[in-house]
Amino acid sequence: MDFIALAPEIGLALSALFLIVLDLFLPEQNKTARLSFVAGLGLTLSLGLLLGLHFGGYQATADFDGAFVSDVASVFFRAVLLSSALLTLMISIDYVREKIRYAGEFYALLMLATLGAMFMVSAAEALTLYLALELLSISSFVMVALRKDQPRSAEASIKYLIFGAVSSGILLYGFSLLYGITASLNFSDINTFLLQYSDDYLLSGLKGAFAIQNGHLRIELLAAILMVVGGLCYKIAAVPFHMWAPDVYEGAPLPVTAFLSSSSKIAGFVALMRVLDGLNSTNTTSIWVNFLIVLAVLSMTYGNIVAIAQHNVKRLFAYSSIAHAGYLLMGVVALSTSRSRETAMIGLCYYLLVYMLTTLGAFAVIMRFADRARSSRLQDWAGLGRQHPWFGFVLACCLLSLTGLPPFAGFTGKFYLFGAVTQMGSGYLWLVLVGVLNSVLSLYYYSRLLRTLFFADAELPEPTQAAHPTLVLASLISVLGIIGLFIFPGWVTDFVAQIHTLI
Amino acid sequence: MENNTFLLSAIIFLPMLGALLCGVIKSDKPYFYHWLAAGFTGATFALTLILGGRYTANGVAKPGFQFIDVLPWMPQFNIQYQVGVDGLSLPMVFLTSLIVFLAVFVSWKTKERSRLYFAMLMLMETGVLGVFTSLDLFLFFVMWELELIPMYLLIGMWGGPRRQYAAIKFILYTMLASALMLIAFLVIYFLSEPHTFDLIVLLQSQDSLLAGMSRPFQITIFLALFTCFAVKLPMVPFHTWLPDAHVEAPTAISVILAGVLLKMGAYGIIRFNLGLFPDFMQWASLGLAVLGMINIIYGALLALAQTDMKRVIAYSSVSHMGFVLLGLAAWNELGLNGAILQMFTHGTITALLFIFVGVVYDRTHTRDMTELGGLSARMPLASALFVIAALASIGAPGMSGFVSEFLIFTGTYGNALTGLNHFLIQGVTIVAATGIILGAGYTLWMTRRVFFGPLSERWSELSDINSVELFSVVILLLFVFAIGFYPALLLDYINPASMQLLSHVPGGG
Repeated sequence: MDFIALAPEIGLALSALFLIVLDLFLPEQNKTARLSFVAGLGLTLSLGLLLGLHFGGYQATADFDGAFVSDVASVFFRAVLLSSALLTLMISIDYVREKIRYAGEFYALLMLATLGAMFMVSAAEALTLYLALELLSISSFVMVALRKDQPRSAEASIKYLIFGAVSSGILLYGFSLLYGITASLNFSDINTFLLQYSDDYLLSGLKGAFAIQNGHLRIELLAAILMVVGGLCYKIAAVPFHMWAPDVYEGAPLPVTAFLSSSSKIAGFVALMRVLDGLNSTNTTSIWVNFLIVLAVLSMTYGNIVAIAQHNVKRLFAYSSIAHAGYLLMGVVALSTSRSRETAMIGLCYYLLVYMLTTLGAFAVIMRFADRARSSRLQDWAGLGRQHPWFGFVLACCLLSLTGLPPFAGFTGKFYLFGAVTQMGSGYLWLVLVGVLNSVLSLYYYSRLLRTLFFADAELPEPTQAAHPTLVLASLISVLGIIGLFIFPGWVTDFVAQIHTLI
Repeated sequence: MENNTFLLSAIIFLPMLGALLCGVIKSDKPYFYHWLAAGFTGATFALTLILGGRYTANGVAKPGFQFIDVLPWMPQFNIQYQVGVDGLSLPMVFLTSLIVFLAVFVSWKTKERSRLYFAMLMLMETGVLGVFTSLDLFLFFVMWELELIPMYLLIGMWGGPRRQYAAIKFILYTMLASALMLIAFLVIYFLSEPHTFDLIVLLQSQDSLLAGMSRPFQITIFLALFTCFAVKLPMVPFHTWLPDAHVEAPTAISVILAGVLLKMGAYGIIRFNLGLFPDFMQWASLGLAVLGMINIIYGALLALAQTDMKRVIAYSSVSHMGFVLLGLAAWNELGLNGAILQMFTHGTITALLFIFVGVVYDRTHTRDMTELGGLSARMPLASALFVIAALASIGAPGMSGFVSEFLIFTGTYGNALTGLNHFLIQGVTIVAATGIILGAGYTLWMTRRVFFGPLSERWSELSDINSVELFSVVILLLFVFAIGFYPALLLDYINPASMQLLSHVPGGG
């Protein structure tokens, strides 16, 4: 067994455990600051190990029977997840000191959740995927409840827990059905099985709604596919599995909201991409493609329309994140044909990275403004952009990038995704049209936020306390990232172009 | 002409550099950002003059793109940074840098948050220059959208009482339209073999491009592009954003909006619809002529009914941009030359008129013509110059408006089409020509109601036009007269380009 491939994870796990122990022995004075420093060190160590090993020429020899595949996709997304956790840490230092009940536990859980997410993006086998998902979910449930001043925090946590439990049950049931049919948990074995076995075995004589070219899929396989996809769609908050998102986003502490809308979502998407690579065969592809097209259209449209009516910034971002799940699902759909697969793969990797940078940049500003206004209601934020030109600028860049306007990387990402769907054939052009029109729709509420920030004078007094330097640094990284990746997309696309298969 | 001289890139990105400097340098000195903006836009204008000088070799302009700069951008998708100018885009580049340079002086009185104002103004200039010079569809789209946000902020932060409504209406109309453009570009990309966004390649291989599409599909793509540009033009019935945006925008922004941004729509139609789909364009020429006629007459009638000076000029823009559409229906050099020249002359003349509205509004704080009157007694110089500008707008001989309208009407009357369409377009031309009379009506009426007649007590303290305002007016008038007396100044650039555009069509040219 080649455990060097796991070195970043081992490092991260040990740092998290060390942090919990350290929490017991540190004196109260300046405790949060020290803990955050240790947590940052642990994450940086893990990121350093990961990048050092990869660019040092290390090639993983073992894949633990698919349980942990250290391929290019895994390296890329693990790096993204670690950076996401680091940025989340950087933007939350002040917030944690003031509003989080147990700082030590918060940082430890943040690292453990990231650990779960890292395993999740590397798992090409159902059981590991499930366990990693649970590690991520359970850590998140607790993190959501850690807020001092808000009773809603606990309510959100319970809601998240119940929805999470149900959906992971569904996912598990789907996996067990799949195991029953194919006698395997490994995605590549499942794929081989689906490709090899004759139509008689996979298809039945039943007539039903899910008619496909050569006949009708056996009902248990159909159920398995829908359950697995549905269970994972909960994690990425796609309509109709999104019900938890607005309440949880609103009730959770801000850094946790940031984490949920970046890391958790990225992990969910990569897991979905890996699972669907396993389910990619002549008989099964059209099932999940049609299912995901419906989900994509619903998510985009519902997310964007409901976001228009929101007056709370956190809820607005919840619905915007639902809408973005829709755009990304379009890319996942485009993975299904060989024509569009390359573009779709590049587009998804690029978009997820950019989405992470943009969301965390926006949350850095939200963190600052919510602290200034003592509220996350839109009307209390009037004129804040004029009072804080730098943060106003950062939020404007992030919002425009989310809308998909140049010169920001969000535009390039959307361009890749829409391009991939166009490449699928002219029969899918309507889907592109829906996507593009949705981007226009999203401009309406993003620009309303901009209007609130810039078109009126601030009523709040000048700030007495400057923002934490790491918060400013994180916002700078985010802006440089989304402009830099627009001008030089090759930094990412050249790297992820090496990804051909995920199983 | 060798590639990668980066003269053109310097022109495009110089204003952006100025915008960045505005963001970086903090100064409390009054007029600091004004001078910074004047310096950068002035340098851009100077560089375009050099560009124009070097464009002609031995006094003769060549067809085809020149000053091409190419840099790889996204090699996986054959996307590149590629800019260049030909006889169609050069006058537009020239117009843009001129108008934005003068707009800095028009907004000399903007003191509130001048730093952001001028940064946005220059950022927008980069976007517009990029639109006129991009030779890559992806880059074109990026530049097209780049202009939106600065304009949104300029209208929304420095505009009149209903500025938020006007700003959001402006941006939603344009975004919605450009959504269609994005899809059309994606389709063109994936249908071209090998996949490319390179406009030069696409223009050369348009036949094979068209062969890849079924006819209904071609029509869809053509219409998607046309609708997008028609919103920007603006063509009736997509014109309603324009009066709102004009009325609410500050004077300098109105100048830019009418002077430059509307030309983006016309430019797009000529470059893409006519360039990539010439046979469709010819097939649709009767429709174009009718749409142009509706724009001319309907815009003029609406202008007659307004009492707000800015609204009159806004609707007159709708009317005058209709001439461009009409000229495109001619399919001969006269008509196309006239259409391209009209884009330039309308840019200068409307800018002039808006500057005068600003001059009047700054002193009286009203644009309502029922309250104004007799201002010539207090502002003799301004009223004299306004009369000249009004005559230019009507198309009086000796001024540039006359040349372009004359070319368009002669061109369309002698259009190169055959059969019934030939005579129908002649008929449309005759009807459209009545627009000139209506134009004379609303323009002269406005002149009379604002500057002549009895002077009200309220306006007895007014001062005449000041030197900063005079500077912009005189420069614009110089161009109006220069082109009016010697149109070859621009037509020498335009003619080779329109000959090349027409050469793709059987029976054209």
